[in-house]
Amino acid sequence: MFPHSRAKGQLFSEDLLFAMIFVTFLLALYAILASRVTYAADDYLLREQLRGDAQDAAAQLVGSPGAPMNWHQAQVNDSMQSLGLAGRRGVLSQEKAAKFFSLAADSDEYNSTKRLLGLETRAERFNATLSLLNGTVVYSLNATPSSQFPSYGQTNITSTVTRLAVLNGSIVKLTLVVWLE
Amino acid sequence: MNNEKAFIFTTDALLAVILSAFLIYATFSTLDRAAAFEDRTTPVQRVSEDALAAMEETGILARSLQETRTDEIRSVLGGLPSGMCAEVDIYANSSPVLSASRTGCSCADAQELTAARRSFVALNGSSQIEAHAEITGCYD
Repeated sequence: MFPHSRAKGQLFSEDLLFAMIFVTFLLALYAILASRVTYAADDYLLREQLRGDAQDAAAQLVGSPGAPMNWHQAQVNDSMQSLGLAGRRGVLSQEKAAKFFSLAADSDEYNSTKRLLGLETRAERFNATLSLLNGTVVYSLNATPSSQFPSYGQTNITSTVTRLAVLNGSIVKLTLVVWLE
Repeated sequence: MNNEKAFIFTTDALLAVILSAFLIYATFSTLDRAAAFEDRTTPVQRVSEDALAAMEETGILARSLQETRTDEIRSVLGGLPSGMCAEVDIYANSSPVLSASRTGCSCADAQELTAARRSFVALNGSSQIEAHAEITGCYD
């Protein structure tokens, strides 16, 4: 038996070093890209959910009388299930529209209004305007994105829905803006 | 025997490195762009149905047919969401009578057209006219 047969050594060459650097770079790149892709997919999902929430809230306002139907004559409480402005389908009630905009403009009731529009689950915020076709504003809210987002377009996600209806014999445009900050 | 090593560095390799860098940059910038998003497109179908229902409710459809004018319909079309084009056609007894479209845009090149239809009755003197209005719309 040779005395040095059990001796061990390491093979370490420049080729191996470069190969390890390259593989590490590829793994890091894969990890970063995978996280970005996951983020983009989540973002897309959230965007679609927000869009759906905004469409549903606008449809509820224009198409339903709310529950209970005389919600505009009562105080906001837990028995109130939803808000709707329709006296009948496509025709808005003046009293309900006035009550809705006064409730939403009240900072104490803004969150309740949001909940009754189904906009609570993703911590959305909303703004609404009811205007005539010539641009004359009938009712409006002044909810805006917080100061770190100078405009709707600079919030994380914004969805704007426009619906037409009739109020006092005139065609009006309801514009509902829902956004996430 | 010469044990010295050397790198082979060719134009092919250089181009491959540049291409890879470009692809990586493009991927990152595309993914970053998805972060901020503003959606302003209410479904055409809903807005079209709203517009027809509102025009029927306010008597615009019947009045337009009786007086053969389109100014009120065009006014309603002008109030549709920005970027949406639409055309309203009114038929009486299955024959086209009136047509009005939103000024300044056209659905001629649209990839997707949506239509909604609504029947209504208009008075012509003492007789009734059964008519229907059709709106076709798109985002340009």
